[in-house]
Amino acid sequence: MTLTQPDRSSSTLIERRHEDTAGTELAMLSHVRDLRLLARRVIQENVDVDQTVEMANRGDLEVNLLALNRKTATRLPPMFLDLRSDERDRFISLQKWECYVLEVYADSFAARLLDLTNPGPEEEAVFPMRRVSAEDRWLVRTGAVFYWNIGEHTDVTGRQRTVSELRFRRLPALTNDDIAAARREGKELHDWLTGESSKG
Amino acid sequence: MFARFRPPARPTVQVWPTAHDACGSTAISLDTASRFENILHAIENQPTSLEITGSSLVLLGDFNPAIFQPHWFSSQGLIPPAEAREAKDFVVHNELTVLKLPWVQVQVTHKQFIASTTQESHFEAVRDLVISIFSLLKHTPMQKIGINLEQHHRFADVERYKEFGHKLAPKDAWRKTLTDPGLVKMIVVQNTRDDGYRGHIQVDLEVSDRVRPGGVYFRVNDHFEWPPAEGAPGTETALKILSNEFKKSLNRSRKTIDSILSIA
Repeated sequence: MTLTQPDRSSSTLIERRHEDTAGTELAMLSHVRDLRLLARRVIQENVDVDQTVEMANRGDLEVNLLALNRKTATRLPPMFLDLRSDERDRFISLQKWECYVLEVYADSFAARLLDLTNPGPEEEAVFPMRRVSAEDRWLVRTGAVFYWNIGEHTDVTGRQRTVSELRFRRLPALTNDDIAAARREGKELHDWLTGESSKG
Repeated sequence: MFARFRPPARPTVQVWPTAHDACGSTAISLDTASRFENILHAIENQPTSLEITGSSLVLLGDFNPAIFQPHWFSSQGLIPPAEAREAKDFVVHNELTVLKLPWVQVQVTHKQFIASTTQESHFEAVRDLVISIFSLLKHTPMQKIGINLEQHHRFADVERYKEFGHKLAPKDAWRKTLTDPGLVKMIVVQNTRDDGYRGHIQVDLEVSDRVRPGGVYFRVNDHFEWPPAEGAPGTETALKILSNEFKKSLNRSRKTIDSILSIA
């Protein structure tokens, strides 16, 4: 069997489509090959400029993706990371309370307040629900803990404002094991208080 | 009206007078309003003023930095999804993770986990975040924890600032050989703890690099450590310290700084 150039004039529409697709695939393969070459050239240029990858390891990097047998440690590209905290955006509390929700109403909630700045007797207050950010409103449940801060906020431009801020405590969802452990602990406490046997 | 105070339900607690608008749009009780006035008056008349404060929790152990990415935090319910989307300057890599949210910065390497904030309103929230993280990653080996408080104070009077340095480190011995000697840095350590834990308390005092002129920087490192126990990664001890000691630690650190500043 010999390969001959197909006679396009006599081929059917379906055959021509198939040939066209094959042609496109060939073109794409060629394009991918070009991209690979381009990528290698970019890597090559980076090697020259940044020395991020040593020449001798280049082949190693291409085939040894898991680094199980790499001869030398990979050097990370040089980069600038500012690891300092941005103290330009800061808040100093004048008054701080730790609070927990007592009751939730339609558009407000009542909470008990524990003064963290000047410890004293507990207080109670009613907060409008709109003071809680929309993403935190589902956290407003009886017993939920939140912090209420009044203080001076300085933003990155240096502008100072006296602000009041509520932040609800977020805890990870309880797992079945956590719930089982809490039930077990509750039952033990109940049995100890009532003097009942821990059986059953 | 922000919050309407009402008499507490229990008879043992104080009965509140009518709500009174004392702090912008915030309605608070008369007692609280006068408390604010006292605080503001005291602040205005202090020889020093608190300019910047920050807290950091540093845990030493074995960590996997690549876990700590914004999506993981939000998928575990630890931060709202919008905050995860707002995370800036973050790098997540096998060797290092750096993550900056508006209220907390997290930095993790294989040996060290740091969560820090310069917003005093969020000191407790950062502690809660760390407790939540390691309640989820409860098998993470760890052996040491530091509860750190940092503060920059500004002296109203530069002469008083210099005098403060001389009081902390008298210069008589130095003046024999140096002209106009000045204190730049001082480290004082308490090598034992009196709360039953192993560790130490270290206070660093320096000339402030951020508050000039007349700025003093303090860092109190409240360091806890515990011996590795057979079969226990140490997470439980770290969480116990964070839950029980965090508030006490910050209060003790504040008192230490205030006490040093009181000689000014």
